Amino acid sequence: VGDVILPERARWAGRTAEASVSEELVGQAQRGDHEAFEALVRPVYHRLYAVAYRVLRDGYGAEDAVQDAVVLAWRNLRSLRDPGRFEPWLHRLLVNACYDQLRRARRRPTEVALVSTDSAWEPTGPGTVEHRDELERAFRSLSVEHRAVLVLTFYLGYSAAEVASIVGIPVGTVYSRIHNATAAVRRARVGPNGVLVPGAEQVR
Amino acid sequence: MTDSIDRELVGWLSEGPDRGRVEVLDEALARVRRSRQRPGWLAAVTMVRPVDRPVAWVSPAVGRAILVAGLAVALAAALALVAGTPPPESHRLAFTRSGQLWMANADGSSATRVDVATPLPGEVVDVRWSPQRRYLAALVHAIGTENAGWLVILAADGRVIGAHAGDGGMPFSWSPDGSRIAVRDSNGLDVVQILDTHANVTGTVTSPSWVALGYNGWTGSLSWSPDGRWIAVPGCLQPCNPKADADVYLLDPTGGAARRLTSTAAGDGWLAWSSDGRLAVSRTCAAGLPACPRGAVIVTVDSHEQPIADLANRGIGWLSWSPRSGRLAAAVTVTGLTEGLATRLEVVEPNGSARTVIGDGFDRIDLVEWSADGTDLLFLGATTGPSSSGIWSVPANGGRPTLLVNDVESFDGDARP
Repeated sequence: VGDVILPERARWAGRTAEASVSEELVGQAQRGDHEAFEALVRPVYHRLYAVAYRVLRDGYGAEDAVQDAVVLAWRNLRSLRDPGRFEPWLHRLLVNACYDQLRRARRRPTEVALVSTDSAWEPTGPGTVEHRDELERAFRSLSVEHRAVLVLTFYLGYSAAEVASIVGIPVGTVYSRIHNATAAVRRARVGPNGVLVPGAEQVR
Repeated sequence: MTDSIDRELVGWLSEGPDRGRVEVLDEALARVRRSRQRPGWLAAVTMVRPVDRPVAWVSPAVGRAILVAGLAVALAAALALVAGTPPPESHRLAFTRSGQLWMANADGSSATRVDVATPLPGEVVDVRWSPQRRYLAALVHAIGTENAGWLVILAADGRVIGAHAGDGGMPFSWSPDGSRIAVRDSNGLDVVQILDTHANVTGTVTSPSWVALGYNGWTGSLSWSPDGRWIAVPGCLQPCNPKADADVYLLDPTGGAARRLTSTAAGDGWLAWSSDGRLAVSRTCAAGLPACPRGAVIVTVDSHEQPIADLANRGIGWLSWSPRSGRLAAAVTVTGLTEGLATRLEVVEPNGSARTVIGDGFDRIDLVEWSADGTDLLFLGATTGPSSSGIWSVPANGGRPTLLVNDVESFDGDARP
């Protein structure tokens, strides 16, 4: 399980000094302190939303998932044994809430993602807008379980062991999901002649 | 090396909204203020819920009843077993596939599924043979939670002879004589407990009041020394962040005082004892993760350290000593996720020089084990291209790898020191 540097995770560097403070807050919140809980959740809210949005590709669904995860975190906080793992634990609740949201979302229209065109990221493929559209379409063709593993790995930069712990699957399954999902994205984006394949193979 | 799809995904995922509406959080916190917390034990039960399989939610009452009944059955089963002569040793491969336990011949043939009955639906996530290969320990997670799990002990023929209930993330390690097993346990406190081969608790080694045990996966983060005197764990003095600045501590299996073995500003991770009592430790540089990948050092029980120059800052993923010759196998990630995965398998000779056994062709290599005679390496690997992970064998001096069993998530193969 190699250690790699990813953009989001790089921004987490230097959090060690905050750890003991957070653990104290977790302890207070576990004793029923609402203000301590709010102090724990408010700094990570935007990151939770960003993760949920990337898994669900739906802003409203992401908001619902974050709300559900926050409320569940409060109700079940006393089951968290290791205060130092509050955030990974919260991410697990969020991933579960995303699963629920996507199952519910099958009964309602999905928000169309609006992608900024002035991002600093420069895609390598030809045709920026089409390129992103291909990725969007390919990503949406994945199951929510595969999306969650990709987001936790590629966006948050968790190691395979950490993703396994958060999602509750063996490390080998994390690997296979990454492999199968990226292979499916590759297949869905470009067909044999370099042409986008409509209705490409789904990983479910 | 894989193509650029990983890098494209990283870039694409970094786009999109990174801030949610604050009023959404305010609304959630208002709901929080109107709701009450569940007691810890009830929360642990109700957190057992499906993630990957369509298993129904359990109500708190039903969940409590199932858990209590399950624990009672496991305890009764353990107590009902009569201690007899040790079962014969096995030379079979044990592995997990789709969350279930399987065994196969050493060459991968005649794979059969072994039933590991647990009180709640569970996935087998890790397996370890005892050193004499008479018993097999299987770690089972209740599906979708880290808060419930079992360490199940089986005889070599697959018969379940004991089960220990705890949380899901329980690193464990067999004693060198195979008569005991150390497990990081929970039940409200992080402790290392000692079990016998029927999963009965025979002792508690330490409590977390002064050591926070690091979490580095289910194996490799708790390791019993070959002379039986120590159990090595990564951890740190509280308050601290065990992921950022863990050192290695030696716990006394008899309950004596623990010792701090390493003292470093960076984080120590995976551990592996050699047969002559040296400890290989993967370690970040001083800047810690994620600024630099892990290298490896060899530490003796008197805290003398010897860095392995050829493995410095290489992205060490797994370390495994050969049974007798003092060679160290290491899985090394040579590219990051942003560039595509590629992993090499290297062997460090006693003189400290690293030799490449597998240079390319594998996206991932993990769980490296030596054959009993030190001539071959077994590992969990996924090749570049459309394949799942499988158990592979390769001559330790290099050669063509051979696939033994496919669709594998974890395994234990031949004897370790």
